[in-house]
Amino acid sequence: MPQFADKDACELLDADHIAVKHLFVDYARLATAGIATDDSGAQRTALAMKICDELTIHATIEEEIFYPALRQALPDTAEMLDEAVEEHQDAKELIADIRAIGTANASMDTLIAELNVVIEHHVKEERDDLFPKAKAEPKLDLVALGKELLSRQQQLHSQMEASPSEV
Amino acid sequence: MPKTSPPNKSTASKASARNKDSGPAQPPASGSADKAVAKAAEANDLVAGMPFNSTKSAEHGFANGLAPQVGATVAPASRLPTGSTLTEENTSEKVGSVAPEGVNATIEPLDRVRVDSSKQALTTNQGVKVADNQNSLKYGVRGPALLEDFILREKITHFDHERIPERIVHARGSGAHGFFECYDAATDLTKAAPFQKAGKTTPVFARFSTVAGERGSKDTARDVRGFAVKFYTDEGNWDLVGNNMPVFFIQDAMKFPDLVHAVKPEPHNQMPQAASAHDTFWDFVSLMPESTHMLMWQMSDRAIPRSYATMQGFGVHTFRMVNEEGTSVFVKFHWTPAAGTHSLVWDEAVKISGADPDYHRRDLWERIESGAYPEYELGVQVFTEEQAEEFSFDILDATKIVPEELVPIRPLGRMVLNRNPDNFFAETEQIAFCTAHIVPGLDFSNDPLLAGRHHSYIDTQISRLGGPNFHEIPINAPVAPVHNNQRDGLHRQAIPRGRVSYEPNSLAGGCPFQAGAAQGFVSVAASLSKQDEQGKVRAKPEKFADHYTQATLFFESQSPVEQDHIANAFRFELSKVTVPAIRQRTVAMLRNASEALAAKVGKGLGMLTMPEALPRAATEVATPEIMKSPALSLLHRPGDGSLAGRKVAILVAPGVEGDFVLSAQAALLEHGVVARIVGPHIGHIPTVSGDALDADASMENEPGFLFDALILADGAEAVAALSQDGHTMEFIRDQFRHCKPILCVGVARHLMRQAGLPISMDKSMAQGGTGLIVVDAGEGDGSLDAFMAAMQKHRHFGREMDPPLL
Repeated sequence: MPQFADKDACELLDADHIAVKHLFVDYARLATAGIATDDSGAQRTALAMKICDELTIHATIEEEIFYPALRQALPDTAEMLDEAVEEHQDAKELIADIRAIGTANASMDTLIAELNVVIEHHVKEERDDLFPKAKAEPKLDLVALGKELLSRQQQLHSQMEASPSEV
Repeated sequence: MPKTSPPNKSTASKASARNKDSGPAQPPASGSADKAVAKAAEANDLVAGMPFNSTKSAEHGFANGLAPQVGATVAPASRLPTGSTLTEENTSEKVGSVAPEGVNATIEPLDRVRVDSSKQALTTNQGVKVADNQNSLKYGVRGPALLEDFILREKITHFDHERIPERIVHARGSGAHGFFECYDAATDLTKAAPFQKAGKTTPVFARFSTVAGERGSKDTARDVRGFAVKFYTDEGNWDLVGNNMPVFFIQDAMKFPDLVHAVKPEPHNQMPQAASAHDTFWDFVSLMPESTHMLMWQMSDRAIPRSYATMQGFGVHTFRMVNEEGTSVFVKFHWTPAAGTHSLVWDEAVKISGADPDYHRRDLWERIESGAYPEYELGVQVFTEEQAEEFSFDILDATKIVPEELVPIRPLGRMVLNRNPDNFFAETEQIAFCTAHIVPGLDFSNDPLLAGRHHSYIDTQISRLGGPNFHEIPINAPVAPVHNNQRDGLHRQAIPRGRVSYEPNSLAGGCPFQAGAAQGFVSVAASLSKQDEQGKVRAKPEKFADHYTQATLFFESQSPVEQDHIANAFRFELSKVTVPAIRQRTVAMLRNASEALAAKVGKGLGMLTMPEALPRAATEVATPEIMKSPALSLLHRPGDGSLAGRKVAILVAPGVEGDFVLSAQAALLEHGVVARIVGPHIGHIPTVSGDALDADASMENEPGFLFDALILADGAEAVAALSQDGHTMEFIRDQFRHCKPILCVGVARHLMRQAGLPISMDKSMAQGGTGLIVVDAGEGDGSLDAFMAAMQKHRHFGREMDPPLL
């Protein structure tokens, strides 16, 4: 199976959705298990930070590239996109709270679960409402948009690796 | 008149002792060689030994009621006066001999009624050997059948009466024998027999069931599962008649027939079978807001367990335990599966119900048959009456749990189910449970639902099992001795010796005598503080009116994936409702438990505007002690990690890498995992090396969703063959959609792509932990550990999207 095949914009964003859901599921499994393993805390902390990083980058590329392209090609999505940006804002606040806690504990478990629910809702709206509109709109070059998203995503990843707090 | 000798006293005694009515003023002298005289003499001595009822005065007053005395007895001079008949000394191969003293032989182990017909000829029920079991008796080969054919008529008549009424609820069930083993003596809590000594074992029979479906209905319906255990203790039978959910829909037995009528197939057209997704159920529950908490459980994945071995059990009601000193505490019973709590997903459950309606029955049978014995730990939450009064909820309310974070579970022992029944009807169908079957050391709370259950079980068994003697059906007979004066009735098995069937008596020396407080069951003298001031009343306690706090607790305690499944289940069930107003009212009720859930369900049902929340029965409720209880999530109990009892499909076709198939099968079997070789057809499948496999299942007869995981073996020709078989894609899609592990070796990856594995999975696969293990040729064996580690996680919900990706 070729890894990181060329994907159009929707596929690329959905790949993020699915990947971060895996992280959320792993986190919940660790946080909920009745018999905690020794390294559960460290694993949860690492997962939480990865979730925060991934979602931050995901929100950034959506806001910088995908949403503006949709606004232009599909003016009737404006309201939906405004709502999506608001949801990003909710997520960003939760991400800030999670990062502030730093090390996994019961409060972080609760916040990650809350973030999970917010993201799940956001993803469902994108998949159910936005993506079909985007895919059906001939004016949108989703392949080119995908390349643009990928390039910015990779750039942000490199930046984050260099200095995690800057992104 | 000739002179005669004086009257012989002994002759007179003989004469009078031979009459069963009227008698002389004086008893005959003892020591007579005449049996009848001796019996009359000894009977008189026996009766005279009890000149009055010495315990009569102790029947009065509260203190005596708490400590009843042992009944008075007198020992007979011999067994003569207590017998039914002098002729019991005459024996035969039918009558046997004299009843052994103090024995009720109907409680002997089941061997006494087991039947094995090896080397035996066919007979009628009267034991007449049947010469011809092929033809009825006719006058001439083409002539009329004859009424005198008793063999035909007996056979047909018995056949015509083979069925008994099925249980009104819990008709669909499966059971097994096993044992309960006590960890440590719990004598501080209880004097109940199973808990008296470390290592003590008690025989048990457990029966698991669905509630709503009929006897032949599917196992994987969305439903509560019955979890009933009969403990054959040495102080009598104790039935812990529980469910796999700790709460119930209703709070009072008065509503039980209404609930069951609502959930059963609708009466006009008898649809739908084994399903709650219909108008009458949701009409009823949305008018009964106390059901909200239970609905959360019923809509959760707990209602579609993977196996009876992977679900919890609960006593539901609050019970009491009583120790030797008479101190009583409240308890809630919990069964925790060693294999962890694991469930199906809804799409899978629906498909299984078509391909294998016996899925759970088969799973239970096969686990036991293969030595992967289902095991459960029994524990209790213990709290005092004083603690209970402080709780924010009422412990008599069957719609409430006691959160484990408030009162932890104390483990008492373990149950292992290690023997399948010999005969389903004789054992699993005829077993009769009752909540009222308890033993000394246990007692009830005043839960009004429990009180109704005490009545209902026995009542239904009288008609289901054909009379009041169902306790004598072998599976129901205790191992503890049974001696009482209950007599007669349909299908009586026991043959009581003697003429006494009442107590007190002196004619049987007072036996069987009342056991008294030291040995017998004495009810806890529970005081009801408000009873006197209130009197008879039909009403509920005030705290019963809090219908939503614990529904919220349950929902908030689930992991996000579980919350999604709950919302999806409500969406599915309510979408099946045909009356929009019922749907609206249910969503209005959910708003009181969780706005987020209600919104999600409303959206899923295409509701443009949300209904107003239902008015609450209680405007003020107590602040709950616990806001979140992780123990309520299925993820809380992943289990011991054992894979025993799981099923894996290895897809094969001609040209497959057969060596890998066999080594994978062997490696999995070492962990108790049953890997089936599944081909386009069963039987001969040539391999790439020139050997052959013998497929024991086909994609047609064992569809993919019946397996816990999938292996796609390498082999160019095999993959080419599988790629042109539509079953293959369904196999893979279902495994993917149900979030199960897939191991894919070499060129088999083409099958994944052909099945439509979305390109957007690539990032997740690079990240790892997807349960999808795609390896190059030759790396299959080296990946089996990773595959089994993925199986330990049971399901990989990271790939679960709604609607599904694939």
